[in-house]
Formats: sequence, structure tokens, C-alpha cells
Amino acid sequence: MDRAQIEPRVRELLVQALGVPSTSIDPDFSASSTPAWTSLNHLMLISQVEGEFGVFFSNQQIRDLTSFKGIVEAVATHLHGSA
Amino acid sequence: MPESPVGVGIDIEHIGRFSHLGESALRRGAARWLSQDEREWCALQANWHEALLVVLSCKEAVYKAWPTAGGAHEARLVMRGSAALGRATTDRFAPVRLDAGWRRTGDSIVTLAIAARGDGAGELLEDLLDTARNAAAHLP
Repeated sequence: MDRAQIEPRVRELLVQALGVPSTSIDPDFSASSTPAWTSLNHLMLISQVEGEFGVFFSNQQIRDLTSFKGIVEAVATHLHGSA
Repeated sequence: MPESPVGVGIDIEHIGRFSHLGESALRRGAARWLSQDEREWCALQANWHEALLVVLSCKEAVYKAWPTAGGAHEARLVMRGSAALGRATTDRFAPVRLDAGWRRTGDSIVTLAIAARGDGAGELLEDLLDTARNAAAHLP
């Protein structure tokens, strides 16, 4: 699975977990610019991403995965073993 | 006289925080972030969704009170009370002990956590809650 396949699935998970419209998710979409990206919604988002892709993030990754791009990159790294 | 607190954390969540999430997403979240005991406590409550929110609010408040505790999800809490009012404790981060108290107020769940060394956290939390109640009683 490449980034082009990962991106739309992550986008859909962001829509579901944060309750935001898909049109709001541009390449720079991040927690710092999204009030709905609260700490509890973040936990729900991470568990959804882990379940969707069959990956498991470390505590450090959980703290750092605060952007659309970052999540896509992390999933790709987990699935392919390289960034 | 209890020891001085080493941290205080407050969390406020709207009761509809997870209303946009489906049942499967909530179940997955509970399986990932809650311990077996915490999930069992949730299952005993009248409203499972609200109980999940309470546990996560407690974890968030505990993490704010004691940020060195890894991640908010890592606290393993002993929950007492109902989703409307109760207390949670953890000694996972001994010698620091964390106590949290929550209360449903209108459409919100307000949670207050305190970290203290030794057994003082519970007493400090009571003092803090009393102070908050007294302050609220004197609001104009």
C-alpha cells in the first residue's frame, strides 16, 4: 500500500474521529489549527488508525502524530519499514 | 497535615464529546486506552458512552497533574462511584499518588486531579473540592 492509497483512508478517519468536514482536510491539516483535534479525540483517532491499518504506535509517536501528513508518513513507515 | 501537592490537573469535557463517533470506534478506543478493570467499571454504568468519557477525562486530568506519567492513557485507575459523581485513584506512579474526582454538571463532566507524595493526595483533593464548592457558593 503506497501513500496514495493511505492518504484517503487517513482522511476518512480524520473526518470520523474529529467530526470535521472532509473539505477542511488539506495537506497542512494539523492539531494546532483544528479546535476539534482535542486530546481525547486524538486518542480516538489513533486507535482508529491503528485498527484500520493494523499498526501499533509507541507513546512517543502517539504524542507526535498531530498532523495529516505525519500520520500518513507514520503509517507508511510501519507498513513498509521505511519513511 | 498532608504533604504539598506536586501537581494539579483539571479537565472539562462536554457530554457530547464523542457523539460523532460510532459504536465500533468507541469500542475500539476503549479496548486500546482502558484497562480491563476500567472497561468493567464502564460496563456497570447506566450509560456506557458517558462512563468511557469519564474514565478518559480522569486520565487526562491525571496526566495534567503528573505529566511525567508517560501518556494520559497509561494511568490505570481504580474507579469508584457513578458516571455522574465519583473518585478515581492510581498508585502506578508511586511514590507519587494521584487522586481524581469528577462531577457531571449540566452538559459537562468536570474532573479535578491532584498528585502528591505519600498518601496525601486524597486529603488534598478533598480540600481542593471544598475550596471550589465554597468559592462557587460565594459567586454573585
